[in-house]
Amino acid sequence: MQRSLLRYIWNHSRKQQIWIFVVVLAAMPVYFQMLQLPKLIVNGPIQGVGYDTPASTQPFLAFDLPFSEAIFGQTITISDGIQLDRQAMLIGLCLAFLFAVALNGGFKLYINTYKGKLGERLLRRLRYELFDRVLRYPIAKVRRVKPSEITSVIKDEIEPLGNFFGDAFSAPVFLGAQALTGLTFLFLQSILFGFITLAIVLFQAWIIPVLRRRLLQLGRMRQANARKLAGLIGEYVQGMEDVHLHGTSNRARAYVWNMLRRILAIRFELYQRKFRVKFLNNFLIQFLAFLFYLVGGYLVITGRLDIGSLVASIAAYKDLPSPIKGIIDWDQQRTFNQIRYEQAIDDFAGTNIASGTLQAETEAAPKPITKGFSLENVTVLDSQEQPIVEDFTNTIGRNEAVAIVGTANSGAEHVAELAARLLVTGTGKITLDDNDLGSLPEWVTGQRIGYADSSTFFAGGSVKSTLAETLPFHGDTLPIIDTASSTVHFAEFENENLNERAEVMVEAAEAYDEFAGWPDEETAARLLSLVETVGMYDDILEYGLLRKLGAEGSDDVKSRIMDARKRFASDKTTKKIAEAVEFFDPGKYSQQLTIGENLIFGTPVSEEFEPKLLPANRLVRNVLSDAELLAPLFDVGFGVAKNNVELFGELAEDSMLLQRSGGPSPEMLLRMRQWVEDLTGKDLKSADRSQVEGMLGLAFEYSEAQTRFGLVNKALQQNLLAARSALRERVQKDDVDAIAFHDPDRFNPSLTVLDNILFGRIDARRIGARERVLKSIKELIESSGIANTIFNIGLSFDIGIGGRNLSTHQAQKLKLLRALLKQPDIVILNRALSALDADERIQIIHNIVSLAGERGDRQMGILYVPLDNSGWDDFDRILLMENGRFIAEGTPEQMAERLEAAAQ
Amino acid sequence: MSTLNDDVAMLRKVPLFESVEPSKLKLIAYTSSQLVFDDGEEVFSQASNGTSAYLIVNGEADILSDSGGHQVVVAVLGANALFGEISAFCDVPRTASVRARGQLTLLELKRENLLELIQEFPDVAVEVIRELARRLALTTSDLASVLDKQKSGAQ
Repeated sequence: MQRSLLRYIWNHSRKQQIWIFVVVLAAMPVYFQMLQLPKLIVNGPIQGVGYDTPASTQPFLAFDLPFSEAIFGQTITISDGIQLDRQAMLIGLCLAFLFAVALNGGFKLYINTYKGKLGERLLRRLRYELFDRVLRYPIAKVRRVKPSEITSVIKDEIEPLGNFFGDAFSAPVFLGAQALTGLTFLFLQSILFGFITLAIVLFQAWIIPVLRRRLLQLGRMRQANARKLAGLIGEYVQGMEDVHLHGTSNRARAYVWNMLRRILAIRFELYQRKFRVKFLNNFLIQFLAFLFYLVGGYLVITGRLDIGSLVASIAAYKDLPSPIKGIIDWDQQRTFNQIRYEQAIDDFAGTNIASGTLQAETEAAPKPITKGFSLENVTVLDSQEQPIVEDFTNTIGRNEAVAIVGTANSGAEHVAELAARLLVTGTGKITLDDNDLGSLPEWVTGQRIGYADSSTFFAGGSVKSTLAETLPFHGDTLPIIDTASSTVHFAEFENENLNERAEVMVEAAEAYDEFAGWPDEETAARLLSLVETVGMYDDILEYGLLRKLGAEGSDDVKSRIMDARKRFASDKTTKKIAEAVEFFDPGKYSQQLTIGENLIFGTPVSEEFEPKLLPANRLVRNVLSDAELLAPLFDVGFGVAKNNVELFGELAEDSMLLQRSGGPSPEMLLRMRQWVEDLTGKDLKSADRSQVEGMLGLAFEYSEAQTRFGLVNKALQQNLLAARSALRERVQKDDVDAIAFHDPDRFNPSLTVLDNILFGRIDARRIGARERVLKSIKELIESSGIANTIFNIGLSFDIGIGGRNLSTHQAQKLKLLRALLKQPDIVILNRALSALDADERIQIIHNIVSLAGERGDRQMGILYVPLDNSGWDDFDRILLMENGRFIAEGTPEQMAERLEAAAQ
Repeated sequence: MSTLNDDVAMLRKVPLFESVEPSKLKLIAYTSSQLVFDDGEEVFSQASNGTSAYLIVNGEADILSDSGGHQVVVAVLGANALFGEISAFCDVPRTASVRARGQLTLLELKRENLLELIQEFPDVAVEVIRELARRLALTTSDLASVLDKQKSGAQ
């Protein structure tokens, strides 16, 4: 990478920088006119120079060809202009001034916009380039760096560079030209003023870099410490479990506080020095003003300078400080940004990254592996220069199942890592089908070799995206930036037009699902059989059952689920289980549901039908009032309060009994007591609004099955049923989508798939009923042919950040599934499935060996580093390793004795 | 479906609780959960550890004892019967197995709730001690008469 910031900018934005320069140049005459016109206005129309009589006129907009006298020996007049009197001239010149102002503003607008775009594009390029390098870091290096430090560099540290990119060349040119114009103008007005100004500017140019040296040093420290802070915080967030486990939060506070103190000390000194330099700059410029007024005023008083010239000089001077200050600021930014850039890319540029050709993809699919791995005298040293694999020579064929057996320090797992390219050889040679493994493109090994170890980290997403993202990428391939790579290829991406509104792009990106059509029929069939192989079928099926049907719910799927619902309710084999379920029936009051749930009889979609807001819901209140239910429900609420006060009234607030009983919270109990006090002897009419809502709230949350106060009699149940249907009619008239009603004949999208099939509540009094119901529903969906559908729904299960929603054994199975799904020629199983118990693990390995085909005619090679001391009977060859060295090999029968001895 | 008041009425018929105030009994009922067992389902098995006492709300339960590898029904309990209370008060394994005979509905009285109740309301403790002491007296006199019979038989 280019280490000089200005050179980097020039290399990647040469044309644009030149264009800015041209535009700035074009803007110069306009800027000059802006300075010139006020002087003409004051001297001409206002003071009356050249207007001796009221009738005299002067030419307006007369224009001679510049330098014509010098070139052609005579003045060439392009336009004679028009003759105007004093008043008309004032209006004309003022309008010209206005025009110049507008034009100057227009130029500025264009230049600023152009610079902004240039800066952002270059920043995007730099970020892309840095990330591209991270992708090609050696694995060992990636394991050493702190993720948050890399994030900090790519995201934050280089961000300020974006503001500088556009100014890198144009600002000094623009400001320099302005300052030069101003200075020239000053010289034209008065040689003396010109020299005074020049002297002060030169003094500034000398003194500032001297003062700035320490500033630069501080800037470097600031950046390094800020990055360390990012790293430290990242470490603590990642290792939060340890902080809690060992109770070391106070050490963490102390470390971070000390880091923040250091950063403050650096920043404070930086500010002090920065503002001192600023103060000096401002003072020197204002000192010029002092000289102007003193010397200029003296010259005017003594008649050696006309007042128009002084005004023009002061006007020219007024525009001089800002360009000069701008140049000084620019130079400061340049040096700061150079440091920022150097420090940011230092680690990136210093790392020996893999060549781009290793990651470049070609059109054709990679050729299948025919022979396999061959390792010759391979030795690998660890970071302490100790051999972890020593002089290892062997082959792992594409047609055989090989197990490398050895203890934790035998080096067996490192051989597997070597084959998977996660470890690089020190000396020796590894080839794959006679090609050097290290120089094979990654997309070849990535598609033809499968690898699974015991790690459980996933980037996040759904089960589906986790599986699909390891398969070949078919989108636009972006260029890999090598020193030799052509800039032309990158330009087409860099110069694309972004015409859409920001929201449109962001929304489109959020809505985009790369794997929408995945899996296709063939992949789906393979996936299903592999999921069985690794023993993950039941897990994914259960994810599907517990999901709400989203966009993937076609009418066909829904009608199948409805069939399953009917079968579950009527099927003879599930009858006994069904007894534990109280089915939803619109014509029946449910004891398992609360009064509120019985009334709504569905799932609230609109917020106003949520249980909390139900008492205040106008529609519900109207329906209850029509059904003359308000008073009875008020009484139920009062009954709930009274019963609770009677039950718990004598208990202390912190009583364990109160906490464990599942009764009301102490605060709620307090409110209930207040209600009972206030409302005893009163009725609905004499209670105030909040009391009524309180009573209705208690009533709505009351369920006979749960609380058994005996407050809901048959008559009330009947009335509530009538209110239920009345409410439903009203809701369907007002806002159909406010509630998803429990309708025995209709699919309810706000229930999970499981609840849709179950369509009722499991009686909480029956121990183990939930498990039995789940099991019987699983059997039902399998026999009724909708298991595949629900399996597919389960594929959209969100695995969580880092895969945290998965259990360890699920995560390890998913890793294995990914390795197998790509149909590798050789699969490497490196102490995989460590979280499983040995029996299940050995069974799965056995499944995979059978999947690979018959001995001597395998379609898939297997390199297995086992965790157990058994389960390799169906392998073709066993290699025994000890202390990094190869010891012996043979068929499982030949090796049986040695392995037994080694195990002991 | 039985209400809390039904449960209280039932608890009052149990000698252990008969002189405990109704409001406390209601609390016992509230903190207990109802369980339903189908015919043949086991409530608990002999020698297992358990900390709950059970009151039969509805149905019948077989009390089974393991003897020589097979189970023998030693008693059949009906509504209002209390069982498992010994394990509820002290840490001894279940002395017999219990199985539902037909559909069985139980009220499960958890040990921690019973102990908590005794701590909160010492007069409950007095009632419980009184009942246990009465039982101990009965057992002692039973034992004495058995020993008497043995002595007279031996002579």
